[in-house]
Amino acid sequence: MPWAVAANFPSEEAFYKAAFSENAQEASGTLAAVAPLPVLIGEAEKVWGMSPSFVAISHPGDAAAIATLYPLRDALGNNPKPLRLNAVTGAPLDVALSDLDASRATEGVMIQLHAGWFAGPVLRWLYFLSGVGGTVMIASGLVLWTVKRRAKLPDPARPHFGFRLVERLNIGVTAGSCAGIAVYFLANRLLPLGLANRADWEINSLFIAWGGLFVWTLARPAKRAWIEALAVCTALYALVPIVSAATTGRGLIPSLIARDWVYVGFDGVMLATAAACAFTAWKVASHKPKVAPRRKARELAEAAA
Amino acid sequence: MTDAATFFLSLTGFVALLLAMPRHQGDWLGRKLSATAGRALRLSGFAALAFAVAGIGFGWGVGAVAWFGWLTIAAALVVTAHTNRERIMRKVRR
Repeated sequence: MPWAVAANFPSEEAFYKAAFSENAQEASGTLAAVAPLPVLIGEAEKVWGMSPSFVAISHPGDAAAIATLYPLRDALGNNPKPLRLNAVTGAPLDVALSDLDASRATEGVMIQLHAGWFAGPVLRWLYFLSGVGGTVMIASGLVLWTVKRRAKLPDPARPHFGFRLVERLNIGVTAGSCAGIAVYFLANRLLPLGLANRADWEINSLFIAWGGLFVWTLARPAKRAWIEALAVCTALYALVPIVSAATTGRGLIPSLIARDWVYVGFDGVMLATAAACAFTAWKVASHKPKVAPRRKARELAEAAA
Repeated sequence: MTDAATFFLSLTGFVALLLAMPRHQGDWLGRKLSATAGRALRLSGFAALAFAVAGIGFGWGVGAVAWFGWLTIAAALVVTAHTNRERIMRKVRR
């Protein structure tokens, strides 16, 4: 949500300068090596009693280099404050980060709530299920919009342009984005490691696959388009665990043997998604549209006569 | 354990709220309840939902998030069960 920043600051840089001004520090110009990372991390562990999750070093190689260490994000709202160290000596700086003011504390809690870093496994599954519920609600709402309006059309067999546009966008966006996310996971495992801008290409492949499927569904009759796009989703999601097993050492079976539930859970969710797509495709394929109620049909016939 | 308690309290709460609505009493109970019984159900439903957060052992911050999560699941279950009542009853009778 960049609007608040855009409304109050001339540029994003100005916002970051105002929000994180204490991080700004001129380089001194004299060279000095950065202290070994274990020294910096050890200092943070001494102060907090826990490991940092993130280390940022400004002006590395300079005598005025500063290391800012951020704590693990496993509590909601009351994490220890980030620690600032002299990156050359590893000594804590006197200029500690200013106390969290209300707005920054609010921002912190909002981000933690949004990302759920603090949550244990049960709560993470609740986050996930709520997310799935919201997604399914949007998708089913989009579909119902067309279903409801189709019944009210003067001639449901030949809808007007606006209706056809929405129907087409629904298929392309719902099934297409679903397939794109599976391709994103596949690209993450299949793209060569040496590829330049590999992370960008993972995202590109998501949108390329989405766009490709979108064009394909445009060219097909609506019902066939739904079935085929969902079949593509099924195949792609079912492929993810297979490709993972082939290209990494973290396949489903090694993960099960190692009792690595995070990886088992991920493969399980991929397979469940494939099953859900297959089930939906089957439901669409076996769906018989309801005939218009008799009274309505008679009215239509009378109106036509 | 606290998760299970929160979930069951939320589920109980929503079921009580559902049964407190005269429209749905006929569906599930086969008869209409008296106004007093309906009011008692509604009150105890809201009380169960409130106790669901009080029963959480996570503290207020994380507890509130977990409470909303379990409320969502419980509400979704009750609504799904209610809209598919006919189908479920057929399965049960068989």
